[in-house]
Amino acid sequence: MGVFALAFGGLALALDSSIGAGVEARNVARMRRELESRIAFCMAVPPDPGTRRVIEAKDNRGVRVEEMFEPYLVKTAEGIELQDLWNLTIKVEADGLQAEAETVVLRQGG
Amino acid sequence: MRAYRRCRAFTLIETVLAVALFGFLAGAIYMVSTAALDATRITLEEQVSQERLGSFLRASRNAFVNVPASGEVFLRFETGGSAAIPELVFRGAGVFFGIPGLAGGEVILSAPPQADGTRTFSLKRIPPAISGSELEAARKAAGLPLLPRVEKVEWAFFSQQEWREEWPQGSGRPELVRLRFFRRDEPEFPVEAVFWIPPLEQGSGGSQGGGSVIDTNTP
Repeated sequence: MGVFALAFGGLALALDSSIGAGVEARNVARMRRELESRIAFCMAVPPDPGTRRVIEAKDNRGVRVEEMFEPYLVKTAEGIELQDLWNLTIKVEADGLQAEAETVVLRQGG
Repeated sequence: MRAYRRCRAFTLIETVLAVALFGFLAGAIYMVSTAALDATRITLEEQVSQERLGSFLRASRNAFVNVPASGEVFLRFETGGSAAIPELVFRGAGVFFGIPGLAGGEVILSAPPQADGTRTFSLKRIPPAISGSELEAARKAAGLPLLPRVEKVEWAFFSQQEWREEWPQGSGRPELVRLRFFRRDEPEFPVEAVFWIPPLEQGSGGSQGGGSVIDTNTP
């Protein structure tokens, strides 16, 4: 009986892990797609400089999005500050999973 | 006369019960193991499907980002069959989807219906300077299949702060293109992808040049 119970428990655990892995793989892929789409959208319509743009999960197919657009300060070796560089940060969150991306964007006037 | 000797052994009922219990437990383990193997197979198929979808979207993203200054993107409806099929046309562009030999003429991304009721994203090329029956044959050709088993394909184009469902030839260069469709394997959530097309003119309202991802963290 003990051997049977062990085998049954192990197989049930394997079944649960397998289903969990499938669901997680699907969610990770969905978040990754959302992240890439938001990067593309922000390239055309970035958030206002210095502000945080938030899209709640209920308005975005279950994925919460947070975007920030801030000046990216960088100087050359000669000490010249480079202009029109912006740091775009995007965070997405769904079903307890999180992903984040940062992009440097060259854009005149923000 | 031989003396009667009492033997210690299992009765028939005990043996039958033990065999039945053994059979029941073996059957339960067989069912769970079969389910575990099925779940593993489905998970693997799902991973392959997601990988294929990811590759398709990645290739599409690259195609849009690399539309050259002389290139044109527009939506056309092929009305040959029972229902009009939206066709996204890239005209005058270079290499598409990483496939050499597609440059020149038109490259068409569409999702024609299949025998099983789903659609398959496919890519076909209309060579430059053809007309008449040659053109007709090229348009009716099956194309290179990219992503099978999709449904309800919708395109939208973003320009001047609004999304439009139509983008006919001569509309210019949209800032963004949105593709939305359902997969037969995942009908509860639509797949939605937004593609950015870098603007051409200085001060056109879009960003001046591209961005580069310097750090990406994905679980």
